[in-house]
Amino acid sequence: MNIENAKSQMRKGMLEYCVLLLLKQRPSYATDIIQQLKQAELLVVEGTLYPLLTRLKNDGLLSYQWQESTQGPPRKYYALSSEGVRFLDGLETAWSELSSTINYLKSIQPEFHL
Amino acid sequence: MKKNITINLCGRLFQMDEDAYNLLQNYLDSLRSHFGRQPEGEEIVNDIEARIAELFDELTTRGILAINIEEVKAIITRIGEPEQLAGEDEDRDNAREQASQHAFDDLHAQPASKRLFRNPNDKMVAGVLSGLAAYTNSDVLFWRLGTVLFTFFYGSGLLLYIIMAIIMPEAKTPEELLRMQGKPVNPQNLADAVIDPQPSRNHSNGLRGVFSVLLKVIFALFIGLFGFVAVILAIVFIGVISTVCFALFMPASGLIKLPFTLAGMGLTEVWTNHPVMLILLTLSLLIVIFVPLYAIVHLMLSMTKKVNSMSMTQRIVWIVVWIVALCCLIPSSVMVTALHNEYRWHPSENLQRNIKVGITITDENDTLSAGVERTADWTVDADSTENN
Repeated sequence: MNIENAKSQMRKGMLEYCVLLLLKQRPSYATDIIQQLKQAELLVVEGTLYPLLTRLKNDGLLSYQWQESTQGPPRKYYALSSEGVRFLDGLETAWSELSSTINYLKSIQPEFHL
Repeated sequence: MKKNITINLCGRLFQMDEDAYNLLQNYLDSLRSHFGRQPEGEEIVNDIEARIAELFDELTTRGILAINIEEVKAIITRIGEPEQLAGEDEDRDNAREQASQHAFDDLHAQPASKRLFRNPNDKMVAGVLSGLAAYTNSDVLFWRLGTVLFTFFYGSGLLLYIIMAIIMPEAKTPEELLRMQGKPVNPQNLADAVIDPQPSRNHSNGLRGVFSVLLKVIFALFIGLFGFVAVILAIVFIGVISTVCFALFMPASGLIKLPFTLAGMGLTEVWTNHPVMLILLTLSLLIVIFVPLYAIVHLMLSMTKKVNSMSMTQRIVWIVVWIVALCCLIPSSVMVTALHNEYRWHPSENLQRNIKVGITITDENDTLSAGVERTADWTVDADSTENN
């Protein structure tokens, strides 16, 4: 069970980065984001995503527009704001740093003591 | 067959079964309270509602006209239960909302905290013992046997039971029922509580009847005690009132010897010479008797809910009035008694005064003139029967 916890913690940390990456490509709405993340093998529920999107919007990283839809009530289409783009660049840097740290630690050869 | 409810979700109308509606309502409420602490909470819940409306729309296009509870459960699982959503927020808000995090824990960390309720589903008399059993995870039978046993010790078991029945609330809503059993309060459990409520056990009416009759008897005894006291007070009150009436309508006269007249009580002279004292005495006596009588009657009526019980101010006012009356009563009654004794045992000093006022005194021989002469030697009582 602990490994699941650890995984879940790691995913939580990554989620923001993933969402911003998706939105950089094109504006989308919540359900669509969930769909795309699912394809990328990251499973998220609406209950987690909605608060995240709202928080990012309130922090100024995202903006949204209402779009009418044929299947139901109007949808919010989220897109990156200019500040969001800058934030995303910062995340990219952070990610590379993390990645290189992990790679380095994984590549350390055990030393032979004779 | 189920009852159908039409709801308005984000401006769209949907038909759902009643139990599905209850579940959805509970879910949305728990979401609201979960997100309520965040400033954007309202927005988040609105987004979720819109998403649910979307999903409902899909259902209707698929041909399902009445949304049932299974669908709602599936939607809740899909969107996420409030407890699962906790994880996301706890990491984020460390910088901002330390305090509200603890509030959040209180809302949803239910499994450990159990509350004591009376159990309406398994009650013989009032469900007190059943509730206790649920709280302690034990069998009701032990509690019932224990209570009966204790009742043999001066009725302590019964007394305790009655006290508990008054203090302990009954678990009415599904949430309270869950708390009573110590189950966590989440939409899933609430749904189960709504769908399959615990089968209520109807214990044999005979035994239950005995218990409830017992309770009613005890209650009636209490009322009877109050009533008894009230009746006594009422009798005294009537006595005093009739004295007052007699005094008003039949001024002090030595002839009339009825028990409640002034003459009958030997207070004629006192009335003549010290009317104020008598008035004071009567008034304070009336108040001292009347106020408790009134209070008891009022209490009994308010217990039967015909009349509201007195407010604090009213009670204080009545108590103060009663104390004042008591303070007047004691000295004035002492005074009146002293005066009465004075007139009774030492009339000779006052006799001249009496003759001047015109009280006729006759003796058996009816020799008026002789009587007038002789009164100086005789001891004369206004209420003494010797003079007749």
